Amino acid sequence: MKHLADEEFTDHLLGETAPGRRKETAAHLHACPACRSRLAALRAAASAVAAVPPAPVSADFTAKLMARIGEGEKAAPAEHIGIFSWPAPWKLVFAACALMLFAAAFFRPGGAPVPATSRILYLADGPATPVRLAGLVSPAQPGVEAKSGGIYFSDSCRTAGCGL
Amino acid sequence: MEHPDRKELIELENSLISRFIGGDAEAFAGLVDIYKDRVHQFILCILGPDREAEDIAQEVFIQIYKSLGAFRRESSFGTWAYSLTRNVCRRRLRDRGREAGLFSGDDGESGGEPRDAAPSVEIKFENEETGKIIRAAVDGLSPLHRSVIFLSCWEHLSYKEIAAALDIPIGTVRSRIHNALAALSTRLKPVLAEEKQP
Ligand SMILES: [Zn+2]
Repeated sequence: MKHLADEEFTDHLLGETAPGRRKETAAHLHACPACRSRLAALRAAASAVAAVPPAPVSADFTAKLMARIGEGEKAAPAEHIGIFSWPAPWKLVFAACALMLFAAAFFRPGGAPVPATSRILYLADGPATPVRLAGLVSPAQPGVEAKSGGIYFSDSCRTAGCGL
Repeated sequence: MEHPDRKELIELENSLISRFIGGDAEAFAGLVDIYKDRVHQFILCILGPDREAEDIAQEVFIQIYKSLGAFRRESSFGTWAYSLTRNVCRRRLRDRGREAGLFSGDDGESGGEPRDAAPSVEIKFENEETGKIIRAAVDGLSPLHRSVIFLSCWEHLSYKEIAAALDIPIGTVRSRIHNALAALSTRLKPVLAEEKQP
């Protein structure tokens, strides 16, 4: 009788036996006391290890960590033109809404005409491609101009579902 | 086959991750509370007893905080977090001038038995000491054997996930888990026999 290979014991123990081998393995274990005994020994070792809790960290670990993260955020210099630090999406939504208010005030009927290039606002964000961020709204892009009123919205604006 | 406890855990951590990405910083603290001891233990598995283990765990969580927005959920959070932990440990070893492979001192691809560095286990045990003895037996394994044992027996990760977390072939995962369990089974025989007694 050919006994189970070393790895087949752990495969069986950890539920990793290939579907095509399961019947055969089970049948062998049923018939072979030697393999059953080896499997039982490995199972006992695995259960013993699993019963020991992981080595705990100090009680103030999370508080210390959150304080370090807070300090890091305060100390971190702005890496891009963005007004806010990223990537919290609620900040994106807030930015978009502020932008909408600004747009409503700035482009109200009768407002002074401003060259398109100087009216472009950028939302510096992750998902927006460099091409999108670098693109200037100009009369050569009438569709964009008419839709956004000169404000170039980023991908994140859409992702955030702010309705703009 | 997914471990039942793990399924619940994955659901919880997915909900915390979604809340964190939605701007709830408290949710991150929740994730830390779930994983802090486990990441700490995994660091100890990789590095062995290390005075800086807790500091390294802090560094791991700062990395997780910074990268969680980019986590694509192609693997479980655990697999991703442990892979990141391994990288932080590797960096730390490099900083200490131990440029050799992360699992240097392991038995390579030969599939040999784990090295026996454990203090010989006394036959006479007190029951409350069992946990300490088991831990000492695990500590006596090589870093790679400790790591696969931690990820399989403690964390219930699949072979595929362990291979991804440790960046080693699945065949190596299989053989190292077997070798480690066989070694533990021999070392712990007296304890396990005693535990069986009523
Ligand atoms: Zn057999």
